[in-house]
Amino acid sequence: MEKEIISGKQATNIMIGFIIGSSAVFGFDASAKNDVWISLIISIFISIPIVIMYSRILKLYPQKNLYEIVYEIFGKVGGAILSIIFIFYSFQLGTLVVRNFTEFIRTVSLDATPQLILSIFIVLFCLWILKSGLEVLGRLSIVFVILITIIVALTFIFLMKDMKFDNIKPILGNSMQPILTSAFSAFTFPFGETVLFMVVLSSVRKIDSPLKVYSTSVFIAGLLLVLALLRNIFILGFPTLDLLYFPSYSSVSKLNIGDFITRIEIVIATNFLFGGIIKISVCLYSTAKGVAKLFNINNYKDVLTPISLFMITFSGIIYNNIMQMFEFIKIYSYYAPIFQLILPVLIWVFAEIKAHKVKKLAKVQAKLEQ
Amino acid sequence: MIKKFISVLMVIITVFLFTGCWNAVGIDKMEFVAAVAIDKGIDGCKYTLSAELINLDKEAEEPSKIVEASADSIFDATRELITITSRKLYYGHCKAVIISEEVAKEGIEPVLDILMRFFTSRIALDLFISKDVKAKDILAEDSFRKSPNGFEIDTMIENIENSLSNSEKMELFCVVNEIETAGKSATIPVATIRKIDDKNYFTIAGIAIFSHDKLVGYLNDDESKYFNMIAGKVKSTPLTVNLDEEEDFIVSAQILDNKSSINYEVINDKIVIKININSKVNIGEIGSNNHESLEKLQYSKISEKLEIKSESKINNLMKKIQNQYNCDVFGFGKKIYQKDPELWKVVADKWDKEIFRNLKVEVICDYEICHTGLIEKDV
Repeated sequence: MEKEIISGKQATNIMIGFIIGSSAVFGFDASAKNDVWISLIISIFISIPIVIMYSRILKLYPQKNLYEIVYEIFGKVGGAILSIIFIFYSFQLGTLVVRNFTEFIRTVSLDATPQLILSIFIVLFCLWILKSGLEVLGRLSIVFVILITIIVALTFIFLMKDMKFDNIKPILGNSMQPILTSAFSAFTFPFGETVLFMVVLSSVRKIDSPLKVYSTSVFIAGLLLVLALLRNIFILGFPTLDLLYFPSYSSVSKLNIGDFITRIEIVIATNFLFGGIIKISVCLYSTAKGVAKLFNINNYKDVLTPISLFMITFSGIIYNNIMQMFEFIKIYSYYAPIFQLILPVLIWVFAEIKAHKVKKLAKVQAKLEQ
Repeated sequence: MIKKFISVLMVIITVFLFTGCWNAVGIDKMEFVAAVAIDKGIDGCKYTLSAELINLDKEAEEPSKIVEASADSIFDATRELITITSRKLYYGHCKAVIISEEVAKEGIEPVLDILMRFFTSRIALDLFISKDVKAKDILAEDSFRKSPNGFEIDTMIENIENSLSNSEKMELFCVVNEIETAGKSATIPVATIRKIDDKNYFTIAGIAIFSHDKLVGYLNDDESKYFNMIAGKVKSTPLTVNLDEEEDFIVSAQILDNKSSINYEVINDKIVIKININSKVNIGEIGSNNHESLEKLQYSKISEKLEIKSESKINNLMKKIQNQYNCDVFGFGKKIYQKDPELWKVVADKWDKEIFRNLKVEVICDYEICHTGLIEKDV
């Protein structure tokens, strides 16, 4: 099949939407209390070396995606095992996001609609996007990210008069340990999840380096998340921020411009909708790519439909209730590093060794030819 | 052709089958709640919930109707109300929640829980405590204008904040924050009833003081004014002093711009709180029958008198709160925590028990007269 090509700008926008996606609505592990924004900034800096590593792997194997790389490095059996692991990860991540989505809608607005109905329509929309190709997702995400940015910026500005800047004090009043714990959990959700972009970025034009795409999007998305988080801290304060499931939604509900523009919390829901659609699409895409590679299917679009149907089903049975969902978000930060940190490091080390060998071999050959 | 036909058919099917909520409630099938009052229950029930329903009929005599129901939980009571109204109640426009003092004395945490949890209510609801009367009465009495009391009380508290400052609007989530925060006791404005010419009107007067989530006492109008002054929250309020006790020389000043800074120092292992209040004032009224006193009119003297009066009032207020209620409504503890978390860790355990009660507080007021209105001397 024909290879899909997206530009670096489109890839950056997809990644920004992916990172902001659910985090802008869910908030972060607030064990660091009013220092949670510091944790978020730390987590951005933690993710920098990690994304450098991801892009280094991609650079060693240009125009190849994660699955092709692992097949090349670890051979048929090892490649298949690693592929299955990453397929599992991207599949379950997509499932979680779908469930987050439907739980959010259920909690804040449609309390009697079965979640299955919601998840069917969301996933089918993502399926439609991907069936039309990755380029469509790229173009769509440019529009979405602009809207997300405008929403975050405007809500921050218009809520300024209600903000209590005292809420942030004392800065670094608690011990360092909860800050670092929160920072790590903020790294695993959402920054570390960009490991899936090792599948997407193989479709980026040759002239755009993966490192640039990775670093700009982590910075911009990080900035937007910090802004959203500070807004919530300034408006709500503690412990309300910790009590609420969806702090962004509640803090924006305070917005009131001249008694005329009020109760526009629905814009936060649209924010989540845009980000969530991008995130689910990326997960769906990377799962389908992996499955196609695993079973030697020429066109990944053939497996998109069954995978999306699986996603809908699993999103319904994965948790019993919303408490379990939020409990799992806490556990997630201990389990996700396997996919985000340990395995990529393994792949990177082997990739470097292999590249070194190839180089040596080439040198020897060059010498022999002389 | 057949493909086209099928796709058009699918669109039509989708339009008819998948749109709209199946639990949709039309606007004519709902009752809109303007305010909610929570009283102690009757007949062995825990709570009595009264809801003020907006009368959508413009011709109607009354702007609103009151319904009430008793149950062991507030949530139960909200459903119990349907047996009276026959329609579903919609709480999305509810502006105020009035809690009776009996309920507040037993603790308001259960009430706050349902208000935060209930998804159609908002985190920015106004809370009130009804003093001396049942919470239901606040909703049931006449309001000055022909509009639901729930909306009126919301307007009233906003205007009181802006031009009288003897009470302070408290939103639901702020109360939750204050109850849960160590070093700051919660305060909620007080609603009560005032009698004018055989007619009862609801009014807002003063502030209720909480120790954790239990009501312990009240500040009256005057005290609340100075309470707000300490917090630097006075936007505008009249302040009257008598310049000359013998000749009755009354000057009314209007505080315009009130700023306060609360600092602390540790002297001999004891914390001393220092409050600096800077305010700009306008002269609002000069009332004197004696023309001799005109000569005595010196603006520096006015500000000096104002300072002396406020300082003594604030000191009295401080003593009252320290000795009578012993709750840190000023948030001194929170201030210390924000500036020096290490120090707070040391004093936190003993703060409510002994430290706050014996705290030494120094108050310095500073008034600056900026305007005298349209005329300079008195008439």
